[in-house]
Amino acid sequence: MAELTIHAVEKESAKVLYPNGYINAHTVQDFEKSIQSILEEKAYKIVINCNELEYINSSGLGVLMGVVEEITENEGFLWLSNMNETVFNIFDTLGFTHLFNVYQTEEEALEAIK
Amino acid sequence: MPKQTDLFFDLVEQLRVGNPDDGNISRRLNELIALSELMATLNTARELDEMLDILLLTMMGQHPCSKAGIFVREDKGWRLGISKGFRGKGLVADQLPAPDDLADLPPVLHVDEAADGPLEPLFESFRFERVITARNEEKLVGLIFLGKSLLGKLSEDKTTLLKMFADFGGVIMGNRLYRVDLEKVNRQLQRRVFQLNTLYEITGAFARCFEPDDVYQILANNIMGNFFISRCAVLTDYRQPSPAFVKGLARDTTIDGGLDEASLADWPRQVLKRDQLPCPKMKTFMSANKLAYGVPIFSEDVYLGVLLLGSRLDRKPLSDADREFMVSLSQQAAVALENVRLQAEVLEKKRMERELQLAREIQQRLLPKAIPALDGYQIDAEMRPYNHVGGDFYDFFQHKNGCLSFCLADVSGKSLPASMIMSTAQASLRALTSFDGMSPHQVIEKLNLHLFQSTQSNKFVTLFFGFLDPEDHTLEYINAGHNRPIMVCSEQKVQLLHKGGMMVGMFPNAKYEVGTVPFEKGSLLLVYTDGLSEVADEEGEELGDDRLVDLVKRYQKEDDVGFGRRQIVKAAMDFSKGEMVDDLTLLLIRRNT
Repeated sequence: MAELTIHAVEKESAKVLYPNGYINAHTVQDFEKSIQSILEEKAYKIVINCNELEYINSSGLGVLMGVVEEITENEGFLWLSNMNETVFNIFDTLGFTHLFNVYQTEEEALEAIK
Repeated sequence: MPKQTDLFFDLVEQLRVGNPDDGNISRRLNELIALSELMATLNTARELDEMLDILLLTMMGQHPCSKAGIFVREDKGWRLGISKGFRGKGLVADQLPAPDDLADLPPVLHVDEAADGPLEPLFESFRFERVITARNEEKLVGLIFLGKSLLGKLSEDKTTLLKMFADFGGVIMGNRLYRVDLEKVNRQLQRRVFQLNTLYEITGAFARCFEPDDVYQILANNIMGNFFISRCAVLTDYRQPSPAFVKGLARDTTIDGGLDEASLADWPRQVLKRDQLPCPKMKTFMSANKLAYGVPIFSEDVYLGVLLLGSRLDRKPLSDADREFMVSLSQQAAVALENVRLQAEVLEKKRMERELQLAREIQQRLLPKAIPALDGYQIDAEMRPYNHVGGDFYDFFQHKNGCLSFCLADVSGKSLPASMIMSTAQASLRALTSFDGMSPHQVIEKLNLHLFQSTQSNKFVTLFFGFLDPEDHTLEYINAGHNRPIMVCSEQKVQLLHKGGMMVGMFPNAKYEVGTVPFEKGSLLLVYTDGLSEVADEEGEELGDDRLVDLVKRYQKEDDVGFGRRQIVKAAMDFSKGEMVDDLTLLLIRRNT
């Protein structure tokens, strides 16, 4: 079984990403490809719903860092929601929660778009 | 809180022993109520500023004034926790000296005592009357400023009460400060743990890399993720104007004219800021691409490149530990890059070996499997490739009328390319000789033209082509630029078969002359390539035609031509101590009867 599956759904004017599983050394390239393919479609409003995300390592965060400039240049955003405690702690430890908007639920994030 | 409780009980004791008619009693009671209320509400408040609000309001009740404020000690300075009477503006912490400079403040300082002191500007600016210090375990953690008391001079008791309030403040502000410190330490620890985890994970990830790009990806992602960096580039070869890898910045970015040659080798083994870099061109490149740091990628003494990083988006500086972490990641990346390179070399070598083995098999299959039998003659031949595959070949074609065509050829060049031409030449030759009626010079002229058309202009083939009629014992031949075959007859007379023309495949209109010699009884013919005549001894002297002639003479009488062949090869190998210089091929024909 794959360690990570990702699917994306368009909601409001944003792409909502649902990573399911572990973003680690084995799967980070899949994660990066997913994000890149969304940017290639010129969709720059992105919400990552982390409800099914069990773990993310620093290279996964590196993927987010690598696209954040392109996203802001194109007047988009990269928001996060539904993080479990483990994932939140990882984001928080490195200070990502100060740089990225974090929402309790996807609904709150979508509401914020309006 | 022994101090506070002592004072508290002291107050209770005063109440108990005091005269009920004492005018102070209701004031005392009021103070006691204030104190107990404060304790009760402090217990329900959660946020520090909420507690400070309650504290300040209570103190303003006991020391009636219209302006007041509490400054809370932070990491290195002061923060305005709460203020009253300033409408949320005006009172700022800017005018306060650093906490350590105020360590000697008395518990209560009146404006009259503050003249020329460090707090004078603040007293002046905001018309405060007194400041009460809040301490926790002797450490100054808060300053409570109170404006002019509307009740005039403060009694001793009141001062004591205010000090008690301030002690409460000290406890809550101190606790908060320690908690913040603890959180900070905790956070640092968590970061280190996370970095260690990254190091651990990355080792495994690097081990699975097959391309340098995989290594750069992992290195970049991990460093960017750990340090909030959104752009990077890897420079490897100073001659290359474009980076080997980029992330978060334009792919077509280049360094004007490449880097200076020495710039990478001079790099110290540490993370450098842009303005510390040894190379001006790199600095320009970094400024243009908003890159702030350079991390060398080195393994042992070899510099493999440099990772250039953008600045941290959280604007924090890099600590020494961060820099060490970056260097250790890049060191691991260097090892991974070396491994990738070695792996590629091994794979390439294996692939070439496999191809050569395949080519050798094909070539061996192209050589005649059996030596044809010809009445009255004995024939033998051998080809020893110098490498796996060679450019030499020999072949036989038996005609329906009993005649035999044979050929021995040497393709210019070595290894795979030569063997490809060899296959072409051999296939063409077979096709051409299969037409019975075609004379030797027609065969060779057509072969020449065909090879000229199907090979590169600098490739050619030297060959000896013979047409032997076993009925009248004549040998027609064409020597196309080849070593002259040696024919020794029974009287030991030597002939070198030189007639023919140019090598084939070079000149499309070359013409060939056909030589004719009788094949007398007892004659032995040796056709060979320079791989036999040019084997050399330790002094570099070649075996040469003369020694070969002697060898043919020696074995001319030998009935078993196979034995002769083995002896000639052995003599050549003995001469050169087994060293070959090229493919070694020889073909022997002896007329026995």
